[in-house]
Amino acid sequence: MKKQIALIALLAFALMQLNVGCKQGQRQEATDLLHDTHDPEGLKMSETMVKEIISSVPNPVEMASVLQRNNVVYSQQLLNPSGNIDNYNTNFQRAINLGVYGTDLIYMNIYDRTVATLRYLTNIRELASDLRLEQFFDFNTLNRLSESSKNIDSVLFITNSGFDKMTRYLINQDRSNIAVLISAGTWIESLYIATHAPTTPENKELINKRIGEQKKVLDNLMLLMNAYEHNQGFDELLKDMRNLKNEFDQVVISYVYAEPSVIEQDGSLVVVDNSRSIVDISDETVQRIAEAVAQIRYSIIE
Amino acid sequence: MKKYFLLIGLIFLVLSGQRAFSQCGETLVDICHGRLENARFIKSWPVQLPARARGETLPQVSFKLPLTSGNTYKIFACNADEYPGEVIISIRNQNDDLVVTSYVVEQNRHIPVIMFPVSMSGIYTFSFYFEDGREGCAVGVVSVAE
Repeated sequence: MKKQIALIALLAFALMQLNVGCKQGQRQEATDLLHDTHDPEGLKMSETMVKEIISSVPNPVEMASVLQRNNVVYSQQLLNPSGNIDNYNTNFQRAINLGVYGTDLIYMNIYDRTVATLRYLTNIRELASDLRLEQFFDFNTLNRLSESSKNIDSVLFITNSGFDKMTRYLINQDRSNIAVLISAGTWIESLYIATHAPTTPENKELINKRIGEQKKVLDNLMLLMNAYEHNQGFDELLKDMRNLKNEFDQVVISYVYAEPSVIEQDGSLVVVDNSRSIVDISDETVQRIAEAVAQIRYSIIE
Repeated sequence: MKKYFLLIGLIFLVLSGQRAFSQCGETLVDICHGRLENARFIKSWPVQLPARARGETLPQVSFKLPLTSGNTYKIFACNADEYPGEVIISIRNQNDDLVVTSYVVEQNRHIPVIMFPVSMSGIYTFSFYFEDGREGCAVGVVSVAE
């Protein structure tokens, strides 16, 4: 009897393994070896610096929140079509487009477009699985929550905290090149959406300023990517980003520092920030930034 | 033989119990989630620091994060129950000026939430340390208020 139970258990285990193997085999194997070729010896930057700079890439929630709060109209046409996932056969493409689709998902959620999110969730699951990162997203819960717009905050939390935990994991596992690509993908997609979203005379100036402020982020991102330029695919991306940087060089940012004050309100401390940043950016510069980022994004998603 | 099974069972229960009640680490991010309310999660930092050794400086850890003008940020932290330390957050702007801290020294009390309507976009430094240099484990959360 005991032998029979052991045999059944062994058989069930073998079947489970086979099932997992089949699921993993549904998508094509990566045609590059990005995650295996990362050479920490060749890295020109300490892991602490990598962590710090990745952390300085803004979360896509920031820009999407700015757009939504300033009544910039939602546009589904701006998103990377979900069907493009079939084009991504290298780990480089999968990592950077994981960032792109993640940003699209956040953009949709912030604008309460929950119905369309399912295909994007599926894409994120597939790309994360290809990169052995699916453990950071509870897809069953996400699918269930996405059925109602009442759950948007929870969906945003699960998605965002998943990306957050995944980045920490990748850096700790010496796979920071993947983390850098995911961050680059999120930033490029955020900037693409911001520069192509339909603005009005009322919100255009403010949105342009937020776009101009990305100059600092680009500087940091390029610093980070330079450290990985020996990795497959990074050199091409860096070349395109240098063109984008040329356009951002026309933006002038100055800061006026002043002592902040703090008041207590309903048990919270509320900071009254008296400092401000002044962003000098022309419409022509915004237009050229929009064109440059569109070119980079096209080379990533197609 | 039964005694061995009982002993193994007891050890298993103790170990799994410890795991169930241990909050420190990524688990604390999920526990702390409830305090977001209507705010949108941006970033979390699990922080674990040892007690201050005699004659040493206060252990602390810092992280940088870009904040965008026009957004109001809700910043808070949760402490892991199994550690004695209560975390203090301090925020500095890119000029290294102190903007705010979650501990009011004069009143000897912690403020649970910081609301920060940012008017200067830039990279801010978030530092975490524990009151009186006690050993502690916490998670700091930055979110955008709607």
